[in-house]
Amino acid sequence: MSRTQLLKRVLLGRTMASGELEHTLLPKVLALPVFSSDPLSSNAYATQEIMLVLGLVGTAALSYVIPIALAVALLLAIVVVSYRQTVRAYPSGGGAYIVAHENLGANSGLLAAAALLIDYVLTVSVSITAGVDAIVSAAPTLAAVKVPIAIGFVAFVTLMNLRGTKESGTLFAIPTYGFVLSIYALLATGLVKCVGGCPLAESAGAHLEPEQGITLFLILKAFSAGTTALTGVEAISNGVPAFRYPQSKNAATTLSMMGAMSISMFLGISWLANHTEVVYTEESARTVVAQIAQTVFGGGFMFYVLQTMTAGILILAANTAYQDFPRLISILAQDRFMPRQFMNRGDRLVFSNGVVILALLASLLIVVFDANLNSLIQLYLVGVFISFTLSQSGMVVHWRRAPEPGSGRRMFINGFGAAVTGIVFFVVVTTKFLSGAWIVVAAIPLLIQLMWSIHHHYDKVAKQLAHPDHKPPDRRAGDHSMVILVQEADAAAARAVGYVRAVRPRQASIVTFDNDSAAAMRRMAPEMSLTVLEEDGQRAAGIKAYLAERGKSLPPEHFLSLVIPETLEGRGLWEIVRRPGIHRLKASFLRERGVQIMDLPISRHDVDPGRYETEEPARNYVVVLVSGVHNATLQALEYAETLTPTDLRAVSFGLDPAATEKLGDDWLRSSIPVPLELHESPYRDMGRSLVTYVEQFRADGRNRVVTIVIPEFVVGRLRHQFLHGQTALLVKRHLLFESGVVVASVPYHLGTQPPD
Amino acid sequence: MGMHLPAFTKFSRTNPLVPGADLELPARQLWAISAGASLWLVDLEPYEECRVVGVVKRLRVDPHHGHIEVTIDDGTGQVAARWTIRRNAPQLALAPGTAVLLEGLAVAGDDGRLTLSEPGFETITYLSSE
Repeated sequence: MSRTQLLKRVLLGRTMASGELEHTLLPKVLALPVFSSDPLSSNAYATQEIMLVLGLVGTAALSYVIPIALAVALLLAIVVVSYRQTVRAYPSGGGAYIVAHENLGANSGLLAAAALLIDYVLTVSVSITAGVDAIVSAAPTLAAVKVPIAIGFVAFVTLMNLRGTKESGTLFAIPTYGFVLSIYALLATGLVKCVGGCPLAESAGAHLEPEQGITLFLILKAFSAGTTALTGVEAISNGVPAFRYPQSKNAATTLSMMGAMSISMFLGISWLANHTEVVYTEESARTVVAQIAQTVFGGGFMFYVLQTMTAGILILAANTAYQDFPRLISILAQDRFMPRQFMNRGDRLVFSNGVVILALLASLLIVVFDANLNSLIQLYLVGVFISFTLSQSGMVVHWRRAPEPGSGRRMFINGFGAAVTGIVFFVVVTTKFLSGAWIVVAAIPLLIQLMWSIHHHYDKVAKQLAHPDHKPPDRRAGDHSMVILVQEADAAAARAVGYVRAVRPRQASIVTFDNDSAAAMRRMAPEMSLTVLEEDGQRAAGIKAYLAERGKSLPPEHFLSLVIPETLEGRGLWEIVRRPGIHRLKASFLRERGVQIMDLPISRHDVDPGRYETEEPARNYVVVLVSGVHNATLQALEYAETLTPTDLRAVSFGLDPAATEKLGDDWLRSSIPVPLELHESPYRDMGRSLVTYVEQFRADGRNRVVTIVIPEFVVGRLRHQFLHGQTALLVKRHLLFESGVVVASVPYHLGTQPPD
Repeated sequence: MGMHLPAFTKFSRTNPLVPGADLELPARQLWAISAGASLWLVDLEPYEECRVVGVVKRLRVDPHHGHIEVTIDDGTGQVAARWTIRRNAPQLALAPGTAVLLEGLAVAGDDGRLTLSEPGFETITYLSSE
């Protein structure tokens, strides 16, 4: 195990096989903290947000807190009842994106997705900043390092999530249940103490100067501030596949449990705040919950327990976003609205790329907003209510399209929910627009535009790959010219000569920059033509010009391969980092039209330094890596056929059952005569699977070689590079150190491939 | 469609074939027997009618020779099963990682390995040890 692998293992745990996915499913008792820490934790500040707005009208207006809290609680109940139906109707995970996409169309789906993605990023930034604020209130000297502390917590939560769902569930259960139990203890003690008259808070009796009169707008603003209690309710509906079986039933039960807890805590805190006559302003040293706790517990042990649990749940509330953001972005990637790399599960079966990108975006927001909670919170909630409204509207259409007993009642519940959340959305946007919500309102269409442009790119690529005009011409054995790029006349160059002789191309030649090497190569391969290029500092340009010249003299159906022999000093990542020049050179040739690159590495330890072996290997096993039947695959197969193989086969690793069946079916339909092998890749690491696979050929480089042919997409624009997996690169890195393995990259130029 | 299997785990159980014998058996072997296998692959003999259970390790489609072949593993050994390609090729559902029950005659293949020729097959569910 290398040092990097060891570090990864210590931080993340052992790599898990794909088959272990079922064992990461969550029982209800763990699913509740994983998916509900966000809505439950907002009780720590929801009442306070309402009071902050009402305080503008003076102390007397604080009596409105109970009716407003009742309205928010009612809204929460409506949304919970409505989402229970979604969870049951969409057992495979019915996030707002899926429900809106299926029932209202692609644009509505993307609107919901964009709103949710932005909100998940905000959930992380807001909850972690709120948690850090709680810590800074206790230790004011830390105020100067708020941003680094917040980034540190983001890193911690990220790491926990990269370890996997179940592990993080166990960890997050403690502060979540701790918080809920402490709040219930607070409410119970408070109610007992209120028999015969509530004790008064330390701030009771403080006078707030009215800054304005009570208006409907202000009441609505206070209401929209209180709706922060609803954030994260949709998390359970997105996360149904993470629940244990029966998934829908368990998810619906968990949703109800969360709703009941949230409503009772929120109403209880609001009632106690009102009856202990708490007064809260931005200058208040203690939060509303802390003031109530001080009054009820008298500042004893339970006060500190509650404060600790509150800080804990606030920081871990970010976890809800960590569950849903990666899942949503992977669904978008499946639908080709996001780069396909987001579909991959990492070592611990988590959608790691999504987790990492969420952490980066949330950290960026924290830095840009200087970890200021008041600024960040203004951006919040817009996305939540867009997704609520679209999801429930989608459900109305769902029930209308597929009527079943009781669907009329269900349609009414979802329709009512949609109408209510729709109204609340306008209230939120109107009351928060100028204070920051405009940023989200502007960002959502930009994100939708980005998703469509990604989708169009993938569509265009798929069309080109399947289009008969772009199909490569038929080749026969021998339709191949090979050029060996010799940097030094060494054992690797000698092996390359032997390999090229075994392939028997139509033309074989050698190109070098060094006169001494040229003389040695002439003796080694007298039958090959040899060219010494001028060394003017621009080696790559010189070789490209030479290849272009060679290409012109060849018939269009001919392949032209540049064979690059190299001698490796050691193994591992260091060997790759040590020589960046050669990798840049190979990458730049890949972009040259009509040129295939063959990498022929040997290890210095495997060769006799005094003896250059130029004999032909007796066996050349050629393996073509395939992921689908399309023009790039066909071109790679034809290339492989010109390599005079002893045995030629196509292989694929780690496809899911549906993709396996499709590939097999397409293979038979296309009448490709080459055998296709499909193998497991239990750890989703194609490089490692391929290295194990190659071992069966017992290649030594002298008598037996294995040539791995990799079809590679070359995109016209650099930014499109991010939309295509870097599988080829990873595979090449693994195979570089395998003795007797030659790697051939067959580029397929996307976007501008001229019809042959 | 059969479910994918968890990792190859070992635990100590009494050997169901040898009453009283306490052996450390891989979970997959126990599962093979509980899922209806008449024997473990390591005990398979040529020209023997058998019912075996395992996980598909490899699916090979060979249009040139006109056959589809899968290799299964039950924790004790491996065996290949071969079918002539017919319309719709239902064997393509046997993706690597799928659990399958095969029933047929074992014969020695061209390369000396035992192969089940045209066996009946059925995808099955893994019975988790938990």
